[in-house]
Parts: sequence; C-alpha cells; structure tokens
Amino acid sequence: MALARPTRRDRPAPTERSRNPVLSCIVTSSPPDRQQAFHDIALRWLPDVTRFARSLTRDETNAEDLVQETYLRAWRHWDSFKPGSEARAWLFTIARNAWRKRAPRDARLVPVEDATLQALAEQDFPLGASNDVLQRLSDADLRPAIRNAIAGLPDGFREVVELVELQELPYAEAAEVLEIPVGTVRSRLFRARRLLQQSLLEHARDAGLVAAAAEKEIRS
Amino acid sequence: MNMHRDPTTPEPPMLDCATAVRKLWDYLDRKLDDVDQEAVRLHMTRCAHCFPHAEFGQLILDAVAEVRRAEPEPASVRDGVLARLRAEGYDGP
Repeated sequence: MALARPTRRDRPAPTERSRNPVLSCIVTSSPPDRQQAFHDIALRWLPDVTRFARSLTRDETNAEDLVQETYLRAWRHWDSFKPGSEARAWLFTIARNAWRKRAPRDARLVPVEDATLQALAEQDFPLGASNDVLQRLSDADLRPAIRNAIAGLPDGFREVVELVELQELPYAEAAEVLEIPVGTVRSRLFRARRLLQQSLLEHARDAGLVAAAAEKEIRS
Repeated sequence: MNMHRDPTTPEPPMLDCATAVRKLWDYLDRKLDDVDQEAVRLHMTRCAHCFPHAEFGQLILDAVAEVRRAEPEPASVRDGVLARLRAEGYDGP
C-alpha cells in the first residue's frame, strides 16, 4: 500500500467565484444582478451545505429544514457577505448558528462525555495493524463502516471530520466556522482519526475479518 | 534511497519511533516541511515497528476519501430552498 495520500478529488475552487472581481461588484449592485450573484456564489454550495446540515442534525427532515433556513438567512443578509471571502464557510457558519438556536437542548453540539472514548482519543499514537489485518481491510468495502463510524463520533470530533476531511476546508476556515483555535481543529482531527481506526477494527472483528486474537495483537 | 543527496539539502534528522509516529498524521497530510517529511518517510520505510502505524493511518485516510464526495442534494432540498427564497423576493435561477 502506498503511503502517499491520494490526490484530492477535483471540485470547484472555493474562491473561484467569490474572489472574482466582477462578481464582487455584482453583490451590491442591482436586484437582478444581486440574485444572479446569490445564485452563482451561494447556491452553488447547496450540496455541501446539505451534507453539513445532515452532519449537524443527523436527521433528513431536520437537515432539509436547516438548509432552507440557512439559505433564507443568507439571502436576507446577502449584503453583509464580504466579496472575496469564503462563501462556503460563511454558509456553514450560518447553518451551525441556526442549528444551535433551534436544536433541542439535548441535541445541541455537546461533546459526548465517554471516559473510555476520550481516553482512547487522547492517546498520542495512531493504531497500528498487522499486515494480515491491513490486507483484509484494504480488500473490503469500508464505505458503510466509515460512514457509520463518522456518524458515531462525538459531536466535537464529527464536526471537524466533516469540515476538514469531507468538505476539505483548510484548518483556519474550519476553526472560524467552529469558533475554536486552529490548534484545536488539528488535535481534534487527529483524535477523531484514531477513533475511526478503532471503529474500523471493531467493524473488522464484527464482520469476521479479524479474529479476536488478531485484534488483540494489533491493539498492542 | 537517494545515494547522491544534493549537498544544499539539509540531511533529515534521525527520528526515534515516538517522534516519527507523533508526526505521522502531519506526514500523511503532507503538512511537514521538506526535511521533516523526508525524515518521517525514511523512518517509516525502515522501521518494522512504525510501518504498520503508517499503513493503517493511510488506510483510514483512503477510506475517508472514499466517502468524501458530496452526493447531489435531493431535488426536494433545492425545491424547498428556492420556494422559501422566492417567498422572500428571490427571483433568480
């Protein structure tokens, strides 16, 4: 298995339009152009905002409502959008703030206090795995397991994985959206990856890919 | 291994296992400077103890990359958003 990380998939450059000087002028100009700018700059991120909303709400109906509310707020406050700034991060921030206001108290973004989970996350080392385990995992379709593992992460970790790993926001932009220091984004990301590794090992055991004895071996 | 190292390139420091593994995620993310990147790479390729950490780290990153691409939003999401926006005066595409 090669160590080099694969090339990131092609996607529209986040600032391709939002830094376009022509569009920057349009944002504050006449209503038809204002609408066109909103379409070009804000609505283009609808798939990403939808995904982020799903991550926040973990519920399809709530996610749809949240996406609508996010875009409604964005439209109402479109004049406050700073041309040249990162529109996607701006939309994520709106979505997150909207969710924090509307979510039931017990569903807000509160980290899960699980001592075992926290202790595991706070260990410095990533997990290692034997060649046999790695081979079996590499051969398996891990996508369902990874989706479940991400969904099961404590909120503070899941948010970072969603923004940095899945939405590919730079640390600094993720930090802005989450209102935490950049260093915290980095440390949470690394801890989250460790938790994902742990989840994958458990998945491998449950799926019969790894014998209990082998799992014990690779935890050491 | 490069046996004809450019003399202007600093020799990568020899890393102990703990340091190499602590830098692993940054290494896999290619966020280290060139010297550190090379030092970790050398350590990981030569150390039988650390190599599985690197392999498993890469595996998890590859697995996450597999689920990275955002699926198109359902039509109902776009329709719902546009309906709310139009009620607020948006008349764009």
